[in-house]
Amino acid sequence: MLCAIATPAMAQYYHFGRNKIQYEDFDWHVLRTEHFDVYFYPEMQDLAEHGAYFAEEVYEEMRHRFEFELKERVPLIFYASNLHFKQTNTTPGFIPDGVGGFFEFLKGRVVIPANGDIHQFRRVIRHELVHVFTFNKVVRVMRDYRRPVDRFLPLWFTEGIAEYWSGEPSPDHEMVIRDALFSNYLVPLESIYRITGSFLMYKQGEAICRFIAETYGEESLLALIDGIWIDRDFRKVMEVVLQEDFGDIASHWEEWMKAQYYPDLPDTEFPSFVADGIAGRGFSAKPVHYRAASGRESVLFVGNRDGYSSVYEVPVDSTLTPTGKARVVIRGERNDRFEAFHLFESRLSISKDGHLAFVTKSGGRDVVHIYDLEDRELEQTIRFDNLTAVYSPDWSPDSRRIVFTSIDGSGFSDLYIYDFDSRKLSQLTKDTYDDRDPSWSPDGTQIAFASDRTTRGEVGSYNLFVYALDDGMISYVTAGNQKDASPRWSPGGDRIAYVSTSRGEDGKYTAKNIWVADVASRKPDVPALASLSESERVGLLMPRTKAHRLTGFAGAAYDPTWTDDDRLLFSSFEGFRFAVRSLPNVDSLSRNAKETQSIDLTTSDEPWEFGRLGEDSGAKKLPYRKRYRLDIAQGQISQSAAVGTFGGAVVAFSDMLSDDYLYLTVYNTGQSQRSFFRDLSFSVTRVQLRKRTNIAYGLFRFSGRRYDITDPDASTSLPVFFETMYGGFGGISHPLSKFRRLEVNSSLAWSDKEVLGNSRQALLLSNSVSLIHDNALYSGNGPVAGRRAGLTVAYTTDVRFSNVSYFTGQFDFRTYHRLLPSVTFASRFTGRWNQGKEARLFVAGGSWDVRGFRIFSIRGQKMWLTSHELRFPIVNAPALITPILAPFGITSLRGAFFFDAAHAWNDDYNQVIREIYAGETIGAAGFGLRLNLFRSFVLRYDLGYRYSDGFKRQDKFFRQFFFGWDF
Amino acid sequence: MGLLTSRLSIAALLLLGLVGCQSLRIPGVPRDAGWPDDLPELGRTNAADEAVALPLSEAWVYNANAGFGPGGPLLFDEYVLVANRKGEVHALEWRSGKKVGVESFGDVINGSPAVSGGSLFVPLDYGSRRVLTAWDLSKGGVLWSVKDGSSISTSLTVIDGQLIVVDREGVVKSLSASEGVELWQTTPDSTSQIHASPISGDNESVLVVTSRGLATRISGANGTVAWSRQLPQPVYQTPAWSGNLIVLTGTRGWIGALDARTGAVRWEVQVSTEPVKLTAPAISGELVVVAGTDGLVRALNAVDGSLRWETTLSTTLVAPPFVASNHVFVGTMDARLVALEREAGDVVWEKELRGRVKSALAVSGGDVYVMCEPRFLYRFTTESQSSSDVSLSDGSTHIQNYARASSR
Repeated sequence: MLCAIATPAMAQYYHFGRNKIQYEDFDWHVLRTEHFDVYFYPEMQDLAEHGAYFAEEVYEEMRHRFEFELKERVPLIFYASNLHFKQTNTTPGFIPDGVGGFFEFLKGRVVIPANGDIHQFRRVIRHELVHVFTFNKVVRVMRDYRRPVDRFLPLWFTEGIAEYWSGEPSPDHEMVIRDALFSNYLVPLESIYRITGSFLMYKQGEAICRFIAETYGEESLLALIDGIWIDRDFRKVMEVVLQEDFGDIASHWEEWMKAQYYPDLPDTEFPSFVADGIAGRGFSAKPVHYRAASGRESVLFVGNRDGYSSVYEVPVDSTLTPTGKARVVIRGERNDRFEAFHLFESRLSISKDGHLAFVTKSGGRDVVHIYDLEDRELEQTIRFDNLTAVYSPDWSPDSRRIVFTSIDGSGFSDLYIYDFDSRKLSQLTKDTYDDRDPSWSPDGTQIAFASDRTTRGEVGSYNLFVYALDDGMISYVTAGNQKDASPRWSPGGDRIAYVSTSRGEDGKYTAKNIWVADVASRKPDVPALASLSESERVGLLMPRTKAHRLTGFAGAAYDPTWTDDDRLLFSSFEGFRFAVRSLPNVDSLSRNAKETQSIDLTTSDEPWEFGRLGEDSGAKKLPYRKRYRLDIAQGQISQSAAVGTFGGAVVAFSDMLSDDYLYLTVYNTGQSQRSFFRDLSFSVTRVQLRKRTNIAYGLFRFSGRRYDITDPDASTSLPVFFETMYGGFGGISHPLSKFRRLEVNSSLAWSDKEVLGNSRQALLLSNSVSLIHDNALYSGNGPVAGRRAGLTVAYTTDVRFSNVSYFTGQFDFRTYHRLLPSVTFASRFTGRWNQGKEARLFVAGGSWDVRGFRIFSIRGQKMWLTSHELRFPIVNAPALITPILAPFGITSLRGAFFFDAAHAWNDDYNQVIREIYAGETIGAAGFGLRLNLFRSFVLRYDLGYRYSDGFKRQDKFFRQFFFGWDF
Repeated sequence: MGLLTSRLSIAALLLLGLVGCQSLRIPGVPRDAGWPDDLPELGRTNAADEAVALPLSEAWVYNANAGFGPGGPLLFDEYVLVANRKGEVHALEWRSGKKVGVESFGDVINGSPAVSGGSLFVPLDYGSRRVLTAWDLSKGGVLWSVKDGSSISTSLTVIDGQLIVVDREGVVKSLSASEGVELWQTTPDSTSQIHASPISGDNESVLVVTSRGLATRISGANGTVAWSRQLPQPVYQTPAWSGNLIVLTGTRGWIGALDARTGAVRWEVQVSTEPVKLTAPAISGELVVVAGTDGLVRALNAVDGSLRWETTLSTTLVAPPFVASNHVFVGTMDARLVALEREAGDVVWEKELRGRVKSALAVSGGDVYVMCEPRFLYRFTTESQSSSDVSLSDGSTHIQNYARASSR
């Protein structure tokens, strides 16, 4: 936003980027408890009170674990859903799906979304508060020892201990660890830096912390934190604290892991051995079977193969063997309509008449799309005003209704039905229980779903239920202390396939395996007692459900769905990837099941609810009041041959929600005491990000010697002059969608300039309008797919003396074609035009645009340039091959063949001015190397030949070293 | 040139003067003064048979330049010595709090040093070139030092001219205090470390406890083991030894008492089902007082471990309480020094400090010494008070008839 508030001199440096849009205008309040300030909005007050209770509960526990008290209250910012969470300004970047929350240490904030699952919400609160305690403890320890706070614990340890102290290992943890061991990709402790930041690192970190606790004592974990002062190298800290050589600790850990899991291996099978593969490249999940009217069969699924999530289709034969390649049906993440898929959350469903129902994010909400698979066109998109997140639609047998899970502003998830004929939305459940994965029975009378509405739900168990549409009665299908999920009725309606995991005798969760429940034998129905009144519970019969476990996987199975009565489609987790598979012979597998249970549906359960802390429990509810607090304060002194020495400082303030910023900048370029005030520059800027349209405005005074190569009056060889400018500026940035935005900027400034002995005064009014589009996919070096474009028109005039008056026009179009997963062909076409009195110069040259020429050496009031690059990998993750490179942070080495061309001119297109390379087409061609350090900094080295005179003359061979991302 | 010479001379004199002020030198320190010296100090009883009259007022506060380990300040003769985690030992004159000298011994000091026979013995933790240094307090110089061996994070104990040291590898050593020669060493449990400091209740033998909860009594003469007792929980806090009673606290809410002669368990109590970490205990007569991370101060009967009273201070407590003859003093993690009435546990006085209290307190001559974050040492002294005013000019609060807090 600040970059867009440009003085005329800076106008050519607009920025691309997608847009984080604030769709909602949250009415924030604060719930003040003993140790926390909980930020919430009224619709989700119930959830916020549960969250406050969880937070105090965790604080009590962490006091013991850390032997510590926090000095300041902790701000907890809650959002009712992931979609609301993605709008937060507390972090500047985009938040991908799968991020459960974060702790940001600048303001000590914890930001957490709900997702309908209150157990997950509670666990994330625990996880983040462990981070809060860890951070504060580390700072305290370093200060006690009078060491600079310039180091922290390694990420695997901080995340590992946060996961470990969040609670018992989750099924996901067991799934990943088991798979890592059995598929042989468990990373040794000595090399754990290789997976820094990955999901595997979280799980391995948790396993290592558990190993340390069980082997050296729970107290050792705190001792490791307390010992951070010992050495920068955490391996040394571990050696001193645990009194064992690091290599021995690492090998003991591996032995411990194998002892934990290898005994299970003989009884374990792998999905790739027992199920047929359908789609395995990249990420492939949420499969559904389609049989067209013509008899053609295919499998559709949600996948990500090229960085964009999309719906794919694979043609198959009657045995579900692929007969062709997977192709994209719905391309996601490139336009507003299909902005993002919920890869892990939302299933697909196909009606009997060939309509695909699926969910994407579109704008501020989730929407349901209906796609006609026969005509291959999008038929309609349904948006629900009061619903925020939507998941897993399923068709009714008559193809006139869909049932789905949704989260409204309260943060709790419930079941809804939408009727296409009447266009009415009905809510089936309305409570704090998490109801998900609905499936419509073939006879249309019942809806099966998974829920925690069972006594055992209080400890995180999920069972299957059916909702009877005639009377609204909810009854058990399964019961027990396990996690059942993703029910799907068989075509005959006599069975329900689902996945389930439970704790084994060793206390670990088993893999999520495929089960089939025989619902035909499940009579009579037993209502979920949580749904009944006291009197209604008396005299019920005691029925059972028979359920058969079909698989014994190491990893996990997800989302089983029937293709016919004897075959299931599902997605498997194996080798750290999700693939779509089919499991034939379900009848036979059921008869020879790995395990059969006769599930006792008798329960004496009472409705359960987690504790809450509200005003009635002593918490104070207050309206949110914006208070600016310091974010950063930074000073700097620089020395330049051209303008001498200058120093200054920048201070930034923002409110707790980071919706409102204040920037103060002060610097001075004076060469002596007498010129201190003359050469004093400052600016005050306010940036407001709370609403959809972002606004910035401010005042400034810039005064001093300037080095400005874009000034048309300055000397070409040494464009230094003295200028004083006073003024104000304002701008708005309005996102039209995630990918496009409109920017309008205006500034009014008094300018008093002395150039080459001439004095010029002007009251400059500058206005610009820009339209920017960006749906590019980014990697560590720059964009790899998609498009970016920008169009700007502006006018600058001297409203007092008419000394300045010029128009500006710019366009910049960039396209990226992904030829192979790691190979991209990138092209850029840029045109810049300034016309009028004192029209400024555009500049080019250097590694960022026209290689082979010195940076900014090409100048003209008009300019076009084009660049084309073929980008390819040379070595990925070289530290894996040569570990000695690891400390240098070398992430990758890539190469590029390039071709650049440009032509700059003032009034006469062909008037050659050699000093600034104007009046002739120049360019370069060659080869470059790109070295990525720490995934964020790129060193560039280009070599090639320079050309001039319209490429008729080859000038010279050049080598050029610089830094920066690809265009 | 003459002006330059005189300026240089002044600078050199100033430098010498500064160097002199910085050295740790206490001329005329009595040879028989020491710490830990008497049995309560050797036994780390966190108790003193002297009364402290309330209300207290702040006599002085000293900036010790870095944070502190779990041990308390050393009080002997007219001096207070405090060691910090930057490896420095500061000596102050007790009455005024004025710095007498300071010396940097190494990178980090976590355990409390000891003073005996006019010498200061300083244990050094990881990162220092030396692990143990003996310093002549009168002359201000190194007497001897130990360079090899594992670093020391626990406090030192001096019995009968021997320095008892426990290092990070869990080895217990005896060195002669005069020369630093190793007399014996023993390892109670090679699979376990020792975080608690060694203590002595008879000036002849020492007790050490490993982190896995193995308590061992060792003869000071030759390092032989008199007895060992496996406790049910890990022990990280230094136990207390008074007479024939040794009291230990576990990391998960366990308190136990052993017979010092035989090691037999006299009594044991699980004070909480929550994972409460208890502080080091204090023993005073028939009273055992322990605090914990649950914010409770518990007083038990030393004979049978029965609860006499408990008081909640509503904050995490990690520093051991100190029992004077009439009051119990507790430093808290919400930056308070609190006085409880000894017999019933009522809160009768409290004072806000500059930071959290993690280190042991000390009481001497009716004064209370407390170390708090980030790096301050306080001395509180009695101010004669004729009325029962509630608040005093220094901001402390004398609480009259405070209703006893309800126990959890």
